[in-house]
Amino acid sequence: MARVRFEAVTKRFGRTNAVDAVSLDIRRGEFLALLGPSGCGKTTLLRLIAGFETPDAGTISFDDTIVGQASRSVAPEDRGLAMVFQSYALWPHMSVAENVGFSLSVRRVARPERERRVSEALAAVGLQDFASRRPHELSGGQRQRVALARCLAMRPGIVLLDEPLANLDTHLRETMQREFRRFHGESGATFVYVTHDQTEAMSMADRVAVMDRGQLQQVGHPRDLYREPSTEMVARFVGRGMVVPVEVERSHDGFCEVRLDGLLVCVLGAAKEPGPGLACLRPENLEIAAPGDDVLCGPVVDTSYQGAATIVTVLVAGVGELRVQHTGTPPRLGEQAGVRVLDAWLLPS
Amino acid sequence: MADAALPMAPRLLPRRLLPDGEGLILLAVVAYLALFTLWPLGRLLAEALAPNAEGELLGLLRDQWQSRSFTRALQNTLEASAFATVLSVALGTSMAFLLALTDVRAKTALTFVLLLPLLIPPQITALSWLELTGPSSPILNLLGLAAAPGTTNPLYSREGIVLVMGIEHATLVFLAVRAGLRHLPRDLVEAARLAGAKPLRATLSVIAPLAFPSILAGAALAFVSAIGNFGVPALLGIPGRYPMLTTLIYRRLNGFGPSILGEVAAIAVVLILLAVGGLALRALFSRWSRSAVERSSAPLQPFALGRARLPVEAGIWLVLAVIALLPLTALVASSLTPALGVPLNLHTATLDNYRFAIFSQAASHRAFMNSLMLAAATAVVSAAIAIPLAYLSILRRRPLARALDLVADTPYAIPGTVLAIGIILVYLPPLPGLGVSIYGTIWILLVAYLARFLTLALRPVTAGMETLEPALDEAARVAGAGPLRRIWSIVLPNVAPAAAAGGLLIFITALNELTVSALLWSSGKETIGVMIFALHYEGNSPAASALATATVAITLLIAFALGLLGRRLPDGAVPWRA
Repeated sequence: MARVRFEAVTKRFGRTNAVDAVSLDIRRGEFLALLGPSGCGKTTLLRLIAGFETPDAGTISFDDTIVGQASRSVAPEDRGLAMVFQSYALWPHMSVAENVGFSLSVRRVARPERERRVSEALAAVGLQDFASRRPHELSGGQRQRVALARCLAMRPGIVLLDEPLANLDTHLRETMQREFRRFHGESGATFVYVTHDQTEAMSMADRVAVMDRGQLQQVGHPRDLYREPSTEMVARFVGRGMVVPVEVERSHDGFCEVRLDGLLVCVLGAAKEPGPGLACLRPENLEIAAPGDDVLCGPVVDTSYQGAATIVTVLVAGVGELRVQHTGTPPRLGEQAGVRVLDAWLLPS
Repeated sequence: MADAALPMAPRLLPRRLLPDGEGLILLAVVAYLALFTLWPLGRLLAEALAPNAEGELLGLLRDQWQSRSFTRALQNTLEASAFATVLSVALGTSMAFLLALTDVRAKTALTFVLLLPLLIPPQITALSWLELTGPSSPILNLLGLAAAPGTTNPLYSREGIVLVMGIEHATLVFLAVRAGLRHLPRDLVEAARLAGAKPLRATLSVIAPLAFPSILAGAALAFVSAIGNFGVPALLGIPGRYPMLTTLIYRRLNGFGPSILGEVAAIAVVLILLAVGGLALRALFSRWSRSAVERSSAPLQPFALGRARLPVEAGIWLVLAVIALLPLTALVASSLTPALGVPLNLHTATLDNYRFAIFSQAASHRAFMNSLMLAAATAVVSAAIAIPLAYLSILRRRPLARALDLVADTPYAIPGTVLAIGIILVYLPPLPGLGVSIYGTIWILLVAYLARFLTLALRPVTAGMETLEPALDEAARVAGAGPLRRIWSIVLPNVAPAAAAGGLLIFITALNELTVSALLWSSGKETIGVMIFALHYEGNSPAASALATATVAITLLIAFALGLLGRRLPDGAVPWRA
C-alpha cells in the first residue's frame, strides 16, 4: 500500500502534451478511477506510474521516494507494483500457474512459498482447477481472472488496471466489477483504474479523476463529480449533463439566483460577482409542465422511451435542446411543452 | 507503516552513470555490428576514395575509370546483367502469371521447382549446366546429341552467362510478381468481367498494368543480383574470357595479392553504387506497387483454363524440366561417372567420386568439414544475436536498434565480393592489442559469414517479434524481470521457431557460400564452394559433381525440415512461403 504523488508532471509526445502539468495525490489504499475520453492522457498517466514512460517535467513519488523525474527514473521492474493490461498480456507459452508465479520466481521466492501463494491467488479468483491450462484454452472472463491472480500473487502496494473490462461483455463486466472491489478491500492495495466508461468509474471508485486533453479536470467522490462538476467538460462528460448559459443576479449561502432565458431560477453553487455564467442541468432535475410564463417553452423535437421513464427533448429558444426525464404519457412530437427547472448547478467560473 | 502526516523531504534519485541492463545489451549488439560490418565497410569506402600515388583527389577511382580492363569488365557486367534480367523477367513473370491466375494443378510442386535456385548456389547451377551441355554430357550422349569430344563448351561465353544467370534470377522476379498479384483484390477483376472482358482481356487490361510495378521491382532485384553474382561468371566467364567486375576483383587479388587492395576497393565501390542504385529503384517500385491498389476484397480467383489446361501444364513442366531438372540430373549423372569421357550406364556407374570427394581426398574432406562447422557456427551465433537485436528494435522500439537493423541488412544486400574486400582490409593487419592477424585462418571466414548472413536470421526473428504484443514484455517488467530475464523467459520461447528457421536458412546458405570464401580462403581452410570450383578447374568434374550433389542433398534435407517448421512460423519468415 503506497501513496502516489504527481507534482506538475508533464509528458510530451512530439509536440502534444499527453499529460499537461498534472498534480495529483493518490491516497494510500484508495481506489482511484482515471476517467476521460480516448486520447485524454489517462493511459499515459498510468504508464507514468508504472515507469514505462518518464516525465519530461515534474516528479512522481511513491510515499516519500521519487520514482520518476526527467532523465532519471526507477525502472518498472524495480517499482514493485502490479498491472492488469487491457489485453491481459498473459504469456502464451506458460501455464496459468506459471503466469501467476512468474513474478515470484523472478524475485527468487522459494518454491514451497511460491506454490502456496500461486494456489492462494488462483483460489481467490476461483481458478484453482485451471492451474495447468494454457491461456488460449480459457474464456475471456477466465483470462481476466488469471491476470488479476497474477497481480494478487505479487502482493503489491499498488495495482494498476488499464481498461481491464473493455474486452468483456456487459454481463461479465458487472461480475468482474464486484470482484475488483472485493479484491481492493481484501488486498488493501492502492488501485488506479483507467476507464473511459463513467458508470464503471462511478460505481467502483472511491474517487474519480477526470482528465481531458492531458489536463486534470476534477478529482472527487463520484457523487460530487455528478452533483457539483467544476468544469463544463466534467458536466457534459459525467452523466451527460446539459450546460446552458445563464446570467447570475445574486449569490448567497451556496445558492444563486440566475436568469435562464429571462426566467429567474434558483440554482446551487456560488459566483463571485453577478454576470454571465454556465449552469449544468440534468434530465431528472427537469420537469415537463404546461406552457406558461413561469416555465421555459418550446416544441418537443424527440421522445425516447427508456423503460422506467421517457426522455423528452424540448427545443427552447435561447437555451438549446433540453432533455427532460418524464414518467407517464409523453407529449406528442411538435407539441408545445413547458420545462420547469427543479434543480441545477452553477459551474464555478 | 506510519501515515505520512509529517511531510518528509523526498529522497532524490541518484543520477545514473552506467547504462542499465538493456543499455548494456544494446551496447554489445552495437559492438558486434561495428566489428563485423561497420568497420570493414567504412574502411573499404575510405580506401576506395583515397588519392592515388600521384595524390589526385579520388585518384584510385579515377585510375580505374581510365583502365581498359576495368571499363571492359564494367561494360560486360552491365551488358550481361541487362540481358540476364530480360530473360529473368520473361521467365519469372510468365510463371507467376500462370501459377497465380490459372487453375493449373500441382502448384506446390511447380513452385518448389521454381524456387530451387534459392537453395542451389550459382556455382553449382553453372556446374550442372556445364555437365548438361558439354561434350561428355551423360544426357546428351544418351540422346546422341552431344558435341564432339574436345569441342569447347558453348556455355563458356557471354550467352552462357546470360542464360544461367537469367534462369537463376527468374526466381526473384517470380516471387516479386507473385506477391504483387496476391495483393490485387478480386473485385477489380470481377468488375472488368461484368464490364464484358474475357479472362485474357481482363488479365491484359486490368491485372497486367497493376502488376507492372512488381515486375519492375523484381527486375531491379534480378539486376542487382546479376551484378553481384560471382559463381556464374567465375565458372563460365573466366574460361570464356568474358571478365566481369566480380571476377576482375578475384583475379587481381589472386594475381597480385593484398598489395593492390586499394585498387580493388575502388572497383568494389563501383559495385556498391550499382547495387545501391538498383535497390533504391526496387524500393521505389515496391512502394508504387503497394500504393496503387486498396486492399479491400478477397484475393484474385484463378481463371479456369478449361480444355487448354493440359497443354498449358505440359508446357510449364517442359520448360521447368529443361531449365531446372535436366541440369540437376546431368550433375548427378556426372557424379556417378567413373572418369571423364567414360559413358555412363548401369555397369559403369560408381560412388567412387563421393568417396574421393568427401572422405579420401584431404583438401576436399577438410573443405567439407570446414563448411559444416562454419555454417553451424554462423547459424547459432547469428540466431543468438538476432533475438536481442530484434527485441530491442521491435518490442522496445529503441531508435539505435532500429538503425542497426538496417546495418545488419547491408552486408547481404551488397555483392559478397565487396564485403570480402572490406574484411581483408580490416583483418589483414594484426589485431590491435593481440598482435596476431586472423588473415589466413578460418576465423576470417567466420567473421565474413557472421557479417554477411545475420540478416537471414534477423528477418524471420523480426517477423516473429512483430506478432508479439508489447504488453507481454511490459507485464514481465512489472513482474520485476530484468532485460536478460525477459529475453530468456518471455521472448525466446515465443520466437524460438523463427530463430530456428533463420538458423537453418543461414546453415544452407553458408554451406554453399563461394563469393566471400573465394577471396578469403587459404590453404587448409578451404570451403565446399571453393573446393567445387577448384576440382572443376583441375578437370576433375566427376568429383566436383559429387561434392556438389552431396551439398545439394544436405540442402534439400534441411529445406524440407524448414518446410515442416514453416507451419509454425508467421508469414514471410521463410522466403519461399512469403
